[in-house]
Formats: sequence, structure tokens, C-alpha cells
Amino acid sequence: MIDSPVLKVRDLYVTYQSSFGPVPAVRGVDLDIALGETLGLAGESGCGKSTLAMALLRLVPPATQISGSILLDGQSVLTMKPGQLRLVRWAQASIVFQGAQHVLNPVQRIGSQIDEAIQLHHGSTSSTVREMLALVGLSDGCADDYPHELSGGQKQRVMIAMALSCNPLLIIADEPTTALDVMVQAQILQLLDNIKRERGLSMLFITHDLSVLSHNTDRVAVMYAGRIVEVGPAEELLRGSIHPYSRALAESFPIIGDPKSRHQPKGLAGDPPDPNSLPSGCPFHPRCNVAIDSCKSIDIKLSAVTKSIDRQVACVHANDESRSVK
Amino acid sequence: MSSNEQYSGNALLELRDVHVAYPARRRGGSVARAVDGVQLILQPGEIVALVGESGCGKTTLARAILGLQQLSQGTIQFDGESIPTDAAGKKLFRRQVQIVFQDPTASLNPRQSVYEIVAEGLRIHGNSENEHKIVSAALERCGLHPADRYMLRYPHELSGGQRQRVVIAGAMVLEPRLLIADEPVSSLDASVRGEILKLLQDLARDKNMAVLVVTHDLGLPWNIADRIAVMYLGRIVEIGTTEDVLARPKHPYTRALLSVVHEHLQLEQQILKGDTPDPTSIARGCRFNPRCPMVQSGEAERLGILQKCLNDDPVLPNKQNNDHVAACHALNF
Repeated sequence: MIDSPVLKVRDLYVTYQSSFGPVPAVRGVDLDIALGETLGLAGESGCGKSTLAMALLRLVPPATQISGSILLDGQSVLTMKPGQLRLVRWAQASIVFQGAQHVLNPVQRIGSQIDEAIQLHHGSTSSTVREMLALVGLSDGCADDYPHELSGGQKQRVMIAMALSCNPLLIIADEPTTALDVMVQAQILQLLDNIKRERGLSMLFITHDLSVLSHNTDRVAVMYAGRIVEVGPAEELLRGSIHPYSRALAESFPIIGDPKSRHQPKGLAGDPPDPNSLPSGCPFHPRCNVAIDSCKSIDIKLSAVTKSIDRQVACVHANDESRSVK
Repeated sequence: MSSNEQYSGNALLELRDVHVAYPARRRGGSVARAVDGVQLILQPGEIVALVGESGCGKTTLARAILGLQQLSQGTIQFDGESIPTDAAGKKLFRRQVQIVFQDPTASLNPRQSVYEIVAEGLRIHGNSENEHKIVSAALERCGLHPADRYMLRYPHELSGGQRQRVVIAGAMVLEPRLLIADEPVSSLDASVRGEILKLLQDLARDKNMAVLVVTHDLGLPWNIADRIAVMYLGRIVEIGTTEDVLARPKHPYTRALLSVVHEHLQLEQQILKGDTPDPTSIARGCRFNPRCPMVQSGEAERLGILQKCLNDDPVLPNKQNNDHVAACHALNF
């Protein structure tokens, strides 16, 4: 365990209310992010990763039930008064949302959108719009542009500038590069990486694309059906996944040049489960190729693997000889 | 570009010097040269991946092959004949060439049942004998079994992966000889992608159907494609077998593209600056020269080819079918 994490989440449950009844989107998640550390959170759509991100700053619909605890720099986010919460958002932790084109206000100039966040937190920051633009590699002239005058990559840079404008400790990046082209994606990842290092920021990097995580994160957590099923050091986890789901996810991103994946596309049969009606026992068992009878009834908790102190896996086979840690 | 290339005789699809230009949006504006001189051959049964950034013209090229986009220059031949322009000829052609789009949700009619969607092509082409049997077999073949369970469902009742299977089944009932798949898996979840790619690969092999996959993802061709063509600003800049191109890329653009894909471990990262290029203002000389790392690092000057890079448009060398070639002055200075 990390001594004084910037973010400490314990037993977090987030349940949406829908016309079909309660929908458990996050079901008992523990997370720690240390100062300067980047944690990658991977999973498919509907697994609860964006809900988790939003819940960290209580950005969920009013009727949603949240339980458990979220400590951001030692302060409890879930019990904060609204006024204090407003100070924490942007200044302590900020979010880079996916799809910048839908997040920026189309009828407001870029400069004033960045300035808005700065003005709201006037006491805590002295940065200017110009500094922020320079930081993310945009020219001063961009401040007078409207969002439609910028390219996708430039808009994402603006989002990053806004997220950094109040000097937060933690950046939550929710699929920051998903809608972008490969080359622009590489530029944005590089930018995030440089800024993170210069400022010693912590980051929660959420993505469905496992392949971008190996270079950009220290640790990776894989989420399935609202729960973390495997967590560990990035390289180790991506090269030698133990949980059958993370293994399948890793295999669906072939290593170019590896003869094993040539003409061998690999995927998982079946579809991600519906949070409305989760399978019994281990929620992964209907798609799992190594499931045994007990998986249908017993849901294994995330627990440390005997072979590696840094790894935690939620699978009945986690300590089998054949699934050795590579 | 030269048009006297040597091709083996029985190509299924043959593109020669294909150009597509979109007219300027306003008077005095410039023409967008979306496809700007493409040569490409597809043999029956082979899977070719067309790779490039958005805006490089890959989707326009796919539309041109389907006859949905008028050429401003060049020819496209299918099975040795030009793409027909009369109604009857078009109908026959479209039976043999089918397309699968990126977003299955957008390509399915929400008010049609799965059965109606898959049977529609058969009805249009007047092949309604054994309709139920053919639809059922196509659904089963595309991994939706038992087919009876899916036939009466509507698209909103299916998952993304299942929807894409329905789209593919709808294309397959007509037994096409060429399938064009435009980003067939990029809107699907990672764990589902592999299954859909496997389906495409198996169908191509079983039915001897050629597939042209348009994609921006370089892992996809490694998984299923026999050959790969890299497109930059309307032109194919490198082509060859997947192994050759991905393991020994020749063109600096391909090298840069590969170096930023994290699935590729051998190349040092080389991130090109700037945004995706603009087809309304293609650079003089080599179209890649404004972003080319060889030009920027001064390597082109050391090799004594800088003037050529800035003034001469490099030509993709004449090729046999499986040759690995690239259009770059550095390769033959």
C-alpha cells in the first residue's frame, strides 16, 4: 500500500437510478494513486470506468447513490459541502474529457473559456491564459478563436490547458485521445507525459485501448462489470496478464511483428454484460474459457497474488502454476 | 504516373491512375484532390488493407470503387471491365461488390427486423427462392446462432458486435466477390473486434472473396491482411505484403506511423508535427516533404536529394503483384 496517496478510494459503489430500477455501475472499487504516479484504468464500454471517473468529483446525476469513501489529498470528497466541492474541482483534481468538440462551448472564444476556470479559482492560481496556451503548445492567437476554428488535436490541447489552469494535484484523463488520429494521438500523449513529469502530477488515465497504456502509465487496473479484476505494474500486467479477461483484452491488440498474432485475430466470444442483469458468481464466467463450476456461484474478490507483491487479481485461477507471472 | 505496369492477367479489381477531386466550396477556393493518382490491384480472395490518417482519401477511394463517386481521371476495372454506368449493369455490379461500414448502428434501419435487413438484398436482386434458408444460413455463418433466435429482433435489441454481424450477413447473402470494409471494427469494443476480424478472414478464405479493408489501425492488417497499402494525401506511398511493409517499412511516413503505434516495439518514436495535411493544398515536389523527418533532420540534404524532394513528385515504382515498393526519393537516389 502507498503511504500517503493523492487519491485513495475504498469500497466505492455507484448506483444509477433508471426506469428499470437501480443500475450498479461501479461495485466495490479500491484505488490508490501516489504523488506523481499515473494509473491506467482499462476496460470496455459499459464497464463503469467513466462512471468511476465522474464519481471521483461527484459529477453524477443527483439521484445516483454513491457509497464508500474517496479521499483526495486527505479530504473526503463524498462528505464535502457543495462550496468546498467547487473549490476542489479544477484546483485539486480536474478532468480532461473525451470528445473535446462536445465539451467546449461553441459560441465562446477559447481564451475566455480557459479564463473562466482561472477566474473561479482566483485565490489559488496566478496563471494566465497565455501561459496555459504556451504550455500546451498553442500560439497566443488561439485565444481569440472559436472552437470550430481549431482542429481536433488543438481542441484537446485546449482541454488540457483548462485542466491544468488551476494547478491540480490530480488529472483525470477520460479517453483523452480516443477520437484523434494516430499521429495526433501520439502528440497529445507526449504532451501529457511531459507536463506530468515537469509538474509532478498524478494522473488517472482512462482508456479502452490497452496498447496506449504500456508507455504512459506506471500501474494499470483492468475493470470488468463495475469491478477491478486485475491491477499491477503496467509492463508486467500487459505482457503477462493473469486474469483471463485482461489476457483476452491484451491479445486483442496484436503486437506487430509477432508471428503468433499474424493471421490470428483473437477476441472474446459474447458481449460485455449488461449492468442491469449481471451474471451470477464471477460476472466474467459466461465468456471465460477457463471457468470452472464454482465460478457460476462464487465471485472471487480482488486479492494479492502469491508470486508478485504488486499484483492483485480477482480470479479463482490467480495462483495456479500454469498462469505464472512472466 | 506511368500506366504500362505489368500485372498478372486475372485481377479482380484494377485501379489505374485514379483521381477524385472535390470542387471548391466557394468561388476562388481550391479544389480538394482527395484521391490523386492511385494504382491498385486486387486478386480474387486476397485481403488488402488500405491504411492512412483521416483525410488521406481512403474512404473516398472506397466510394469510388463502389461507383458512388465519380472519377475525375483514371479508370477502375472490375473483372476486366469498367464499372458500368447504366442501371442494369450497376445492379449486377453491386451484387458482386458489397460494403460494410464503420458504424453498424447507423447502417441498419431501426424499423426493420434482422430477417428483413438480411433478406433485403436478396429481394432487390430477385432471388427470393429459399429466402428463409439463405438468410438463416448467412446469420449462422456470421456467428448468430441459432439464427431463429435473432431473425425477429430489431437492431436496438442487439449489441454492437451482433449488429456488425448482421451487417456482414446482409452483405454475404449475395455472395459478393469483393467486400469493402470501411473501418469495420473501430466502433466496436476491443474484446469483440478480434471475433469480427476472424469472421471476415474466414469468409474471405471460404468464399474466395477479396476484401479491401480501410483502416487507420496498423494492428488490424497484421491480424488479417495479405497486403497493405499506405496512403498519404490521396496517393499510395508504399505497398507490399503485410510482413514486408510492417517489418521493413521503406517510406519515412510509414516508419513514423509505425513508430507511434505502441504495438510495434522495434522503432524509436518519431512523432510528426502538425495536423493532418490538407488535400486542398498539396505540397510541390514530394507531397510528404513538409512533414518528412528526413527533410527536417537534414538527412535529405546529406544524401543530395533535397532538391528532388522539394521539386519532383516521386513515383511509386512499377511493380509486380507482391513487390514491396515505396514512393520516396531516398530509395533510389
